[in-house]
Amino acid sequence: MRITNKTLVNTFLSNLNTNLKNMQKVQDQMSSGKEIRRPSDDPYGATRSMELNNTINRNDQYLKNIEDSMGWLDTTDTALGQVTDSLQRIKELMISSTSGTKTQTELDANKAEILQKIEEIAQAGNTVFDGKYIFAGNNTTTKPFTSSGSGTINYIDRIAPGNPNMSTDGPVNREISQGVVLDINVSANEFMKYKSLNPDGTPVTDSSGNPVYVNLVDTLNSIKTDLSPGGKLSNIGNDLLDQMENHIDNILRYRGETGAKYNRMESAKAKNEEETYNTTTILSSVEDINLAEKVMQYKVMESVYNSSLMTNAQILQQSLIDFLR
Amino acid sequence: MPSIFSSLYTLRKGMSAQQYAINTTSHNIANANTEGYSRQRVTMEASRPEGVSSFNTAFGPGQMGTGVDVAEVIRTRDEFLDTQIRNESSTLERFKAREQFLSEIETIFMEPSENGLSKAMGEMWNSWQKLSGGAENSNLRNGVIDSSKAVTDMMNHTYYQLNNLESNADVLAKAQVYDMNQIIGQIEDLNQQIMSVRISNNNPNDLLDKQDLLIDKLAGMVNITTKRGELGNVEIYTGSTKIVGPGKKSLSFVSSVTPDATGGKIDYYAKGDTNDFKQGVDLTPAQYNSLIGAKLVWTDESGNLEKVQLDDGSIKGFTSIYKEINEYKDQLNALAKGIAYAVNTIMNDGDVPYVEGTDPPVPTPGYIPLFVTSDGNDDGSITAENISINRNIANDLSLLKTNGKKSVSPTVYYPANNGDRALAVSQLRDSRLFINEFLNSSSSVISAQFKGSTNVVLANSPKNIIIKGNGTEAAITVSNGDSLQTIADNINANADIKAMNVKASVDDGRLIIQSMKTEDNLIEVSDDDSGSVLEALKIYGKDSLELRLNNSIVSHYDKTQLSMKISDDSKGTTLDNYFKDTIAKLGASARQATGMIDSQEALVSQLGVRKESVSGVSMDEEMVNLIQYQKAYEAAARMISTVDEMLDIIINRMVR
Repeated sequence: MRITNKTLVNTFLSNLNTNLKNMQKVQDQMSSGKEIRRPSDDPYGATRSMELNNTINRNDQYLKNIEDSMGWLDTTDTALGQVTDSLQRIKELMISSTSGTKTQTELDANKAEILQKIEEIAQAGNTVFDGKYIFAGNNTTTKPFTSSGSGTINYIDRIAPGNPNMSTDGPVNREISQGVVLDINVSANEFMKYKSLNPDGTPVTDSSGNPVYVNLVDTLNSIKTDLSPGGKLSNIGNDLLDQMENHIDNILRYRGETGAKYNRMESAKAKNEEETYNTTTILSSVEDINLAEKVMQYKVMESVYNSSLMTNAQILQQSLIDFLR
Repeated sequence: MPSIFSSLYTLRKGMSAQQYAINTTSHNIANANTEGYSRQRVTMEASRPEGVSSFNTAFGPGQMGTGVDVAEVIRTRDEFLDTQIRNESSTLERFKAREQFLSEIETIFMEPSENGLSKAMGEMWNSWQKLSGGAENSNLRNGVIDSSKAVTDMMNHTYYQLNNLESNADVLAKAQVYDMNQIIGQIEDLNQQIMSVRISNNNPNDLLDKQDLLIDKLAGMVNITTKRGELGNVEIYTGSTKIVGPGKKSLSFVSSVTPDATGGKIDYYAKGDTNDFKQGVDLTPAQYNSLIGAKLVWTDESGNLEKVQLDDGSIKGFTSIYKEINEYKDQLNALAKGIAYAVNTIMNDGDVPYVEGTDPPVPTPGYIPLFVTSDGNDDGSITAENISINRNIANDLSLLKTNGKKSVSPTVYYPANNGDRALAVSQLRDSRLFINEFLNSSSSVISAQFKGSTNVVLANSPKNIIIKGNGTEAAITVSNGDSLQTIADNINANADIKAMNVKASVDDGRLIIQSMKTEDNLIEVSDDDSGSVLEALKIYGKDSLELRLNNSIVSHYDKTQLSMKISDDSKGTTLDNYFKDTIAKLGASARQATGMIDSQEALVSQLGVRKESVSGVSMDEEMVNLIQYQKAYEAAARMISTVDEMLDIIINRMVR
C-alpha cells in the first residue's frame, strides 16, 4: 500500500478529531455531573431518569401532604383534648354541686365556672390550622361554633340543618401515596353528639325509625338550667352526669381515631422517605457519573491525545526533501 | 549505417521526453493538495525503430533505436473505489442530515432536565394535589393556573420550535435541490469538454478529475449509479431515473399540492430555484394521488411530473426528517388533547362542550373548561400549538371547581372548599388514557360511541353512508337493525374502500372507520339522508370529528360513580409515560443516526485512505522521480556535447 503525505495528514486529523470528540464528551459529563445529557446518549437511561425524577417529584408532594395532614391531626387532637379537659372539669363541678348540700351561692359559683368552660369548648371548636377551621369540614372558612359570650354555644349543623354550606360533615381527603386517600376530617357534628342507646345496647329510634342523638349543646343547656335557681338539681347527679360521661367517651373515641390516623401518617412518612431515598439512589446510579472513573478515562484520553500530537508532529515534518541537497 | 545527426535527434527527443516527465512531476507536486486530483504518470515508449528489414535496406546487425516518445499521460484512479465511496457517502450524508435535525429536536425537548415538559407536567399534577388540600386558598388556585400555564406555554413553544425546524428543513432541502441541479449542470458542461478532448484522442485527465469530484458531491445528495460512454461522457442514474444524460429528469422542490375538481394543482420551484416558481400546474387525478404530500417531484423538459423515490443521500435525509418532525408534532398534539380533555372532563363532571346529537352544535350550559384553544374555543380543535388556559377561569379563580360529589342521584355536590375534584384531577397522572386515539384524530380517524343497543335504529332505511378518499368514493348500505359489526364487515368487503386503504372495525361499542395509510390520506364520511344515518350511527361529519373523539374518552368517565375517575383503558398509557415514550423514540432515532455516522465515517475514511493510496501524490515518490528524470535529462545533455565533440572532430579536424 502506498502511503502519501496526505494519507498521513488525513489519518492524523481524523484520529485527532475522534480523540477530541471523546474528550469533549467526558468533559461535558464531568462538568455537568450527569451521565446522560440528551436522550440519544442512552435512550433507555434518559426515560428511566425522567420516570425516577417524576417519582421523586410526586413523592415530595405526598410528603408535603403527609406533613400537612400530621399538623392537621395534631391540632385536632390538641383541640379535642382541650374539649375533653373542659368537659372533665364540668363533670367535676357537677359532682361537687350535687354532693352534700350546697347553698345557691356555691351553686352560682360552680355555674359561673361551668359557663367559662362552655366558652372554652366553643373556642377549641373554632381552632384554626393553616387558615382553615379544622372542625368545619369542607366549609373551612366558616366559623363552626358560635357563642353568646355568656355560656350559650351552638354550631352550624344545628343552626341550619340540611344546608350543605352549613355542614361540617364533608370529607377532607388527602392522598398520602399513589392511590391511597385518607379522610382526616373530624367534624363538629361528629364529636358534639352521640347516638342514644337503650339499656340493651340497641339505638333509640324516633317515630320514623331514625336514630336519636344526644347533643352536647343540649346537655350543657340542661346543666345550666338545672343549676339555676328553681332547677332540678337531681338531674345533674343522675341523667346529665351519665350524658356527660357518654360525651367524654364519644370525644375520646374520635381522639383515638385521630391518634390512629396520626400513627398511620407517621408510618406513611417513613415509607415515603425510604422510597424517596431508594429512588434517589437508583436515579443517581442511572444518571450520575462515577467521578473517579471519568477522571481515569479522561487521563487516558489525554495521554493518547498528547502522544498522537507528539508523534505526528515529528512524522509530518519529515520528507525526502529534507535530505536532498 | 545511421547518420551521426540521428543521435542528436534521438537525444533531443530524450531531453524533451524527460522534460515532459519533469513537467508532469511538477504538475503532481503543485496539485498535491488539490481535492479530487489523481496523480498523473507519463508513459514513455521507444520510438519506432529505423531499419525495418526489407529487401532494399542495407543489411546491418539489427534495428537501430531512434529514442523515446511520450505515449500518453494517464491518471491513476480506481473506478471501483469511486463507486464504493459514492455509495457509502450517500448513506453517510443521509444520516448526517438526519442527525443535524434530530439533535436539534433533542435540544427543543430539553429532556431529561429540570426545565423540560416532563417536570412541568409533574408540577402541574402536584399543584392540583396542593389545591385539593386547601381549596379556600386563592394562592393555591393561582398555583394551578400558573403551573398549567407553564405546561401550555412549554407545549406552544416546543410546537413553535418544531415548526421553525420544519421550515428550516424546507429551506435547506430546497437549497440542496438547487445545488444538486447546479452540480448536474456543471457535470454536463464537463461532459461536452471531455468529449471534445477525447475525439482528438487525448486524455482529459484534469477534466475527468474535476467531473469525478462533482459526481462525488452529487453522491452525497442522492444515491447514484454512473455509466461512462465511449467518448468519456458520463450518464448518471438515481434508482432507475436518469439525472445526467439525454432524456434526463430534474429534481424540483414542491411548495404545495392541492386537490381540485379535475384532480389537483401543484406549486413547485423548478430545479429548486427560488426565482423559477411554477404555480398552479394542473395534475391528473392519478398524478395528484401519487404526489399528495410530496416534497420533491421529477420534471422533464416537456413539463411532465413524476413521483420521486430516493433511497439515500442528504436530500433523502432532509425529506425523512419532515415525517419525523411531524410525528413529534402529532404526538405533542395528542398529549395536549389528552391533558385538555381529561382535565376538562373531570372539571365538568363528564359533560361535553356541546349537547350530544346537535348539528350545528349547541353549547352545553355551565360547561367551563380549563384548557381551551388560544382563541377561547373548546370545540376539540385543541393542539399543542394553540392550547391555553381559559381566561375566564384565570380572571375569576372561583370558577375553578374543586368540590366532589356527595351523591349521584340526585346529584349533590360538596361545598366549594371540598377538594375531591382537585384530587381526582391530580390523580389523572395515573390514569391510562387511550392517547393514541388523539394522535390520529387530526387526520384520519372517525370513531363514535354507539349508544344503547348494538343495532342501528334507522327510520328511512335502507340508506347509504358514503366514504370518500383518494379521489374515489364508495357507498355502503345501512338498514334498520343492522349490527355495527355487519356495517364494519360491509365496509371492509367493499373493493373501492379497500383501494382507499380504509378499514372499519368495532371496538368497545364504537364503530371506527380508519384510514390505514397514515400519511395525508384524509377520508370523508357522509350519507345520503342529510346526516340521519351518521346520526344513528353516532358518526358525525368531518367538522365535529374531534367532538366525537372527545366523547369516546368521556365514555370512560362514569357519571354514576362518586370517585370522578376516568377509568383505565386497556390500550392506554398515562400522560407522563406517553411523553416518555416520545422521548425514548427520539433518543433511539438520534442514537441510530449518530451510530450510523460514526460507522459510515470510519468506512468512508478507510475507503478514502485506499483511494489516496492509489491516486494520491507522494512527495517522496515525486522527488525520486524528479531526480530520475533530471539525471536522464542531464545525461542526454552530456551526450549532446559528446556528439558535438564528435562533429567537431569530423568537421574541424579531419579535413584540413
